[in-house]
Amino acid sequence: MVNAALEVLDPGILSTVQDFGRRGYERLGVPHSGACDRWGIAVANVLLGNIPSAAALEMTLIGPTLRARGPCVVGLGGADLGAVVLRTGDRVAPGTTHNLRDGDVLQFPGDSGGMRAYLSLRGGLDVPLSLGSRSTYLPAHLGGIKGRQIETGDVIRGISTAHEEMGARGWPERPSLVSDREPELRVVEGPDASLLPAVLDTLLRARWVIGPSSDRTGVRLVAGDGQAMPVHPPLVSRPVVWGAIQVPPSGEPIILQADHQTVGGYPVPAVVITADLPILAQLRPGGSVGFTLVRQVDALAALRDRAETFRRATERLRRDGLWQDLWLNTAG
Amino acid sequence: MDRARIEPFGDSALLITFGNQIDAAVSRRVRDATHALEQLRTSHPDIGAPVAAYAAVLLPFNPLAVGQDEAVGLTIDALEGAVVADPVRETPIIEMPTRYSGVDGPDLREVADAHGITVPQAIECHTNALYVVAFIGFMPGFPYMIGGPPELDHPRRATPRTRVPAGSVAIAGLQGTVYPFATPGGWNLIGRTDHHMWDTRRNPPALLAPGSRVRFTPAEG
Repeated sequence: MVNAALEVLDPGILSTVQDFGRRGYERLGVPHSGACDRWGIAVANVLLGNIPSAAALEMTLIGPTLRARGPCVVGLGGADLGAVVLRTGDRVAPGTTHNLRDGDVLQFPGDSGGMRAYLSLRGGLDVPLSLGSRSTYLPAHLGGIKGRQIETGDVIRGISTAHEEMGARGWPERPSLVSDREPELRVVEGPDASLLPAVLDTLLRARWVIGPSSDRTGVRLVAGDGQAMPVHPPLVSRPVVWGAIQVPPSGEPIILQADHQTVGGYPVPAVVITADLPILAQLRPGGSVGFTLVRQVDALAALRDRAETFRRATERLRRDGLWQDLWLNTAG
Repeated sequence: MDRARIEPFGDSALLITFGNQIDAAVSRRVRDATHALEQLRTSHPDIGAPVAAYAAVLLPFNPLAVGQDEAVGLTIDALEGAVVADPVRETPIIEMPTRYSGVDGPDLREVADAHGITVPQAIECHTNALYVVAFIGFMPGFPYMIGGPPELDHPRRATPRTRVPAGSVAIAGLQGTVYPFATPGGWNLIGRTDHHMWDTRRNPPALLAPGSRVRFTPAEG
């Protein structure tokens, strides 16, 4: 028995191993990291019978070129990066599985409108745990494959030794929550909303362009048609959350993402609701975004709704699929 | 003493604020509160680990399992039960041998000049100060220390450096730090130490913790 393995022929722009991130180390200054789009990674995983939070490959804009070493089943979630099997010309859509044969080359050429896609192997990806997680945090060289993004020559292995082919499986819901029309993020008032009503008002009224320097740390917004954001001096640094919209003196908001620093000193007029963080993860530089203010009860209802939708889809997948081989998994 | 302000930060965390400035007494309250909130996790698995800064603590929770009102109630109870740290229980002082000035501390001369003192006087001020770690943030193992000498109260650089070497000893206002990694940074670099702020082979990996006391000493040679 050998574990499923993929050899990296070309790394693409930025691909890292991620799971649901590390918890409890923020007080040592360690960001939680993990997949930016938890919906997308969960889809890639449950397709293969993994737990939703198993380690997978997060691929950005233009993904890698990978060659199967031995037979290998992959599951894809998140955005569509145009995945194609070179030998057969088969397209592999997000929300589906594919059986690769020994030597098959899987390519993610990108340019299909997506930002982040996820690839999983049975059992999840086999990299060492680092502070309780397999997630890569590049600035501190933590987790993943030697704390870095994947490189040519790396071999990515699954934890499971199952090697049988799997019947085709399709995720019965959307593989990514990104909408192709103009995306909107729902926000609740942040700690400085009442202190800075004009900042909140400007944020809500404008449509914002996604800046080119956006990354896993934060999505940086650029003011659209000449709107001016009233600015406010920095505050004493305080702890911040994923989804917090910080407004630095430049007036160009930064929405904190998975790799955000544990503390921040800029005013926060609003915070993206947890249910919409998978949409934040899929915003592409050059695209645009708007904000809708909701109440705390709406935020909670939206999160319950997402959880319920995911649960129902997972049940249907289980009913429809051929699951017998999957129970061999020892995903942790 | 002022009551803490408790408010939601997003839909999955509470922000508990004790003040709005950098202050040793507030920082001590934050440490005591953080310690008390840490204990909540043992009985409530859906409450996360608290994250502290100078004057505020963040308490994450899973909103699908714990209501916001319930989280506020637990926080109030925990804060009421918070034990004020016994001053005699303070940690031993950690010495940090530092090479001052020159290539290791390129900003020391500018800081000294701005405050009308010589470089040796500036070094003496820094080595006489007893720093206390308020919290760890910005990046893994990066200590935010308070207690810097008033003679070296110097603002952050207007333009941050794109690369600060690991081990750089730096000041900003009355705050002090040591950079754990090579990173962009805006603090004034006055020296460098060989101590590793962050090492994942160590448990915990961070050399310093909130409440740690640090004294810088001139390195031999």
